[in-house]
Amino acid sequence: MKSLSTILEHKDFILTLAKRDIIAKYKQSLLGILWIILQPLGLMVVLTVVFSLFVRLPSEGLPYAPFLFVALLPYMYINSTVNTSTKLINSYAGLIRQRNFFRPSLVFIKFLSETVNFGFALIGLVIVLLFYKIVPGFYALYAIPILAIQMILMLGIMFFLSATNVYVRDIGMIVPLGVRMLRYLSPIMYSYHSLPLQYQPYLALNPLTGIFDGYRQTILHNQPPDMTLLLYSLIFSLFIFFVGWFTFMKLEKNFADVV
Amino acid sequence: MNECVIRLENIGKLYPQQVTKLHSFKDRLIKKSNNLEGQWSLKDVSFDINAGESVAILGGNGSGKSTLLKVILGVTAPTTGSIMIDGKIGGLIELGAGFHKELSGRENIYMNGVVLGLKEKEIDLIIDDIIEFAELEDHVDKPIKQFSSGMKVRLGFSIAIHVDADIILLDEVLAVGDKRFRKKAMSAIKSYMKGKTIIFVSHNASQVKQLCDRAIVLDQGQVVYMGDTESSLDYYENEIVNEIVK
Repeated sequence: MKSLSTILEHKDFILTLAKRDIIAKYKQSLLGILWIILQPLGLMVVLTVVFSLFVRLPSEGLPYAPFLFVALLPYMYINSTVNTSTKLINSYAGLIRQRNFFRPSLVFIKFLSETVNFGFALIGLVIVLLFYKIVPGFYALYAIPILAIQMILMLGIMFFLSATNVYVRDIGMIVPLGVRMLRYLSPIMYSYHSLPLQYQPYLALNPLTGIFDGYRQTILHNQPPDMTLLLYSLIFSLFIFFVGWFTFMKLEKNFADVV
Repeated sequence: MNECVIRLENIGKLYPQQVTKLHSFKDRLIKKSNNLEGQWSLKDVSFDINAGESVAILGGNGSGKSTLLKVILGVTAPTTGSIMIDGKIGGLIELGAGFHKELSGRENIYMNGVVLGLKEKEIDLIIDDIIEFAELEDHVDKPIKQFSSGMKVRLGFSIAIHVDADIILLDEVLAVGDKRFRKKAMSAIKSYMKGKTIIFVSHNASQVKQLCDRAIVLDQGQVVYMGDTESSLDYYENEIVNEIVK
């Protein structure tokens, strides 16, 4: 656990590299940083047309676009972070073979640059909320601890996947499939509460259910989130975080031999 | 001069045969035979290096020189034995491998600098010297992927010698680059290394003679000779190079 505090000592290193990571990503595209907002908005438009005009899905009495967006954005945040985490260690192969540095920094660098992206993407959410004249109330503040739970979960997954994929490349193949399946097995395009009652407990096993449903309850309905679901998500996330962290620290020593 | 800054005790490094084959489950399932032995790149290596010494490591290809440097640098963990390092360690092994190819030369200087433990502001102060020494004033804002291999080498070398460190590892650094730059690099090393501990790997006998006080000869992962530069070079010539010719 002592090594967790060394992260703070490496904050300059992490900040500088995260900045470069963001620059590198958008350097060769014309619209640059605008893509962060355009990508989810494009997806939102398509899904809104499909699920509110072609096939009508119940959306808790809300317009479909904000209903979708409030869960879709956090999902896309997970999606891009987890998907890139498998390639993470290999993309820094040069540095790993040449320099001895605090290896978990790499995970934080990616995490930070994706979080900045997510922050920009939230501008899209503000636009959508303004468009539908939805003003979040006091309970929307609950979204902050919910986001914290999501971040713990993401970091845990990143640590685990980035370290194991160095040794077993098959993981890089399975992960995108798994993340895509999660998109349908989490209440993103549909509401948790509109599921048939007998299936709700199964969906509740997915730690993302509590998180996504929490965003909806707090930001759109101005109500406190379902604490039972959320507590489960928190415990699950902490468990994943420690598993990921210890796996990473165990495998980290021989990265240079394998990348 | 007599304070020990690097101490290696019975260092051994085993590369298991599977490490490279472990990438895919398929290979493991098909090949039932578990060749657990693998290969020992280093075996029972022990030596001390004192502060201010410059030591050459000699040996043929595959004798474990680079592995030894990686273990000292802390990039890879030894399988057996223990290692003690006292001081900030820098240097250049695997030239130019630490660059990010999409970013410009300038961005890469910052990236390498922070990995070496500098702050952005500290890099601001030395970046002009780095660019000037590497003779890349016209190219430094291009992405690294457009750099020639010689340019990458010059940049990597320039960064390495402008960052302050107590112990410097140099692996075949002067084997690349044109003759003029090699000459310039050689004199830079000489002025830079004053009072510092240097571990130098090279196949070039005259460079070793110019830079190093003593040498360690490696063969098949084991230390076979340790002594002053002259006698080590002789030993290396006679016992190892000529042995193969016979």
